[in-house]
Amino acid sequence: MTITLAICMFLFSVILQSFTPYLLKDSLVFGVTIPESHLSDKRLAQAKKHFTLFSLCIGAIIFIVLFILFSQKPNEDTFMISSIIGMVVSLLLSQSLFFVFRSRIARLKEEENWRDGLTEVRVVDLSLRQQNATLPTWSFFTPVLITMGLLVYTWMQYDLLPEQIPTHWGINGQPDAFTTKSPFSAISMLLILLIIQGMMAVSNYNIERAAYKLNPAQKMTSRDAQIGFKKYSSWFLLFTVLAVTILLSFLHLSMIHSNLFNSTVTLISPIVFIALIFIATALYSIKVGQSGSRLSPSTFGDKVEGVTTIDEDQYWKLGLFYFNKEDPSLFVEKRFGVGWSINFSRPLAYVIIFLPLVLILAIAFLL
Amino acid sequence: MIIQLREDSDLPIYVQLVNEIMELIANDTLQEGMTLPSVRSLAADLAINMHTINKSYRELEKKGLVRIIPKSGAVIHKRLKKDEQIEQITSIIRPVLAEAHALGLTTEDIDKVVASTILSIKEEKI
Repeated sequence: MTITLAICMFLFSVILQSFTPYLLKDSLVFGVTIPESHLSDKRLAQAKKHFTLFSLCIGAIIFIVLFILFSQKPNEDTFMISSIIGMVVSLLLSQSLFFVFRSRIARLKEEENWRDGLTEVRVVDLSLRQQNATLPTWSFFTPVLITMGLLVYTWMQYDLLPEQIPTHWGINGQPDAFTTKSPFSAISMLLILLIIQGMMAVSNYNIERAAYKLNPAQKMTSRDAQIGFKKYSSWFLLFTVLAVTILLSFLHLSMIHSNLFNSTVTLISPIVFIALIFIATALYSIKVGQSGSRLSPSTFGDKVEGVTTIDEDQYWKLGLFYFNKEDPSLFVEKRFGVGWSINFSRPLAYVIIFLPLVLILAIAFLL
Repeated sequence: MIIQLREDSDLPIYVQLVNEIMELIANDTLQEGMTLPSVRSLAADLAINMHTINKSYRELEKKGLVRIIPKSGAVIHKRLKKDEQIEQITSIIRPVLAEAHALGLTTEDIDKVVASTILSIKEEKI
């Protein structure tokens, strides 16, 4: 079971990473803004194809190495760790591949002056701000109520709790690491759950406030794509937070009442959880695409010649990290991938990244 | 309610923004009592500094088209003082008319330009 899961995870991450160029909007190739006039340049399509092929080859080689390793029948821990290392290595290699292609495309654009003859235009639709595309942030506080309820329940049932509190679970849903019982260790998992729920609520709030980036060459089409992108991002977040809440509540309740769920349920629940998260991620990436570019084909016939979006390449350090002091947005659309990134010129960005990390590490340290 | 700011324009961004909002008010897309987006959200959508948006909103307030109400934002509110406004517009239009006459345009030509421009502003309503 563990083996199948590890293989699935590995293949999933390799395939998603390899096909990333095809999930992005046409006007961003390897993090380089491509003006409308050059979208059909054959060399761009070729670069995308080469990236996917190379990336899949790297994945295949690492897969073979892992396979040889697995045929030695290692124990489960070595197994899990080596497949995670394999996953990280393939992601890093594919990321270096991204840098190679990015500099190649950027050079082409520079040398052949692709931006000549097009006017950069900033577009905004004032009516977009009259209603929110995202789910209201308060809906992210409903799972918090469950956590609160469990906190109260744990406090009431404190005597029932075992002397050894589990702190880590195997993929089969069985605890495999423990700590001594104390009022703090009894609720540590619920505290971590609260942090995750808080992160998701903060993300939703910031996605709501993030910019609507319209394309002057296709105003209506890009407008609909942006609304859809925010909407589905918000749904994806809510789905994730609900799934995590259900899994952790389940593990917590089975700690208090060891006979509450039969072993089959315990066995399959973590796997069902991981499968659901993977399916949701795949659906979100493939159906929605970067900034909603895969949501709706352009049915408006709103194409305008001679204009293009603002070239923001200079703000994307290494094509990955957005630094723009002028832009008040905290969350920005990912440059190479589907999802969200952060404006590192805002001090608050560092709070959002490091605060949950520090809190979770502090809990782990205090246990 | 679309606003477009061109990077190649000679006009600074804040002036372009004022002009675009004035057009939307002129053709009734933005009506009395409607609120403009918050400074923060408009700055985010356009990826420009919040000071620039603030400057535009202040300018619109000075022109008597918007009222800035603390906490609720910039609300479309046309101040009706005809004499004052005629004076305001005259001072803006004077150098333009001088240029037109200097170039040899007749009063009739100018009337035509005025009529057709107003028509195109009104027609832009989406």
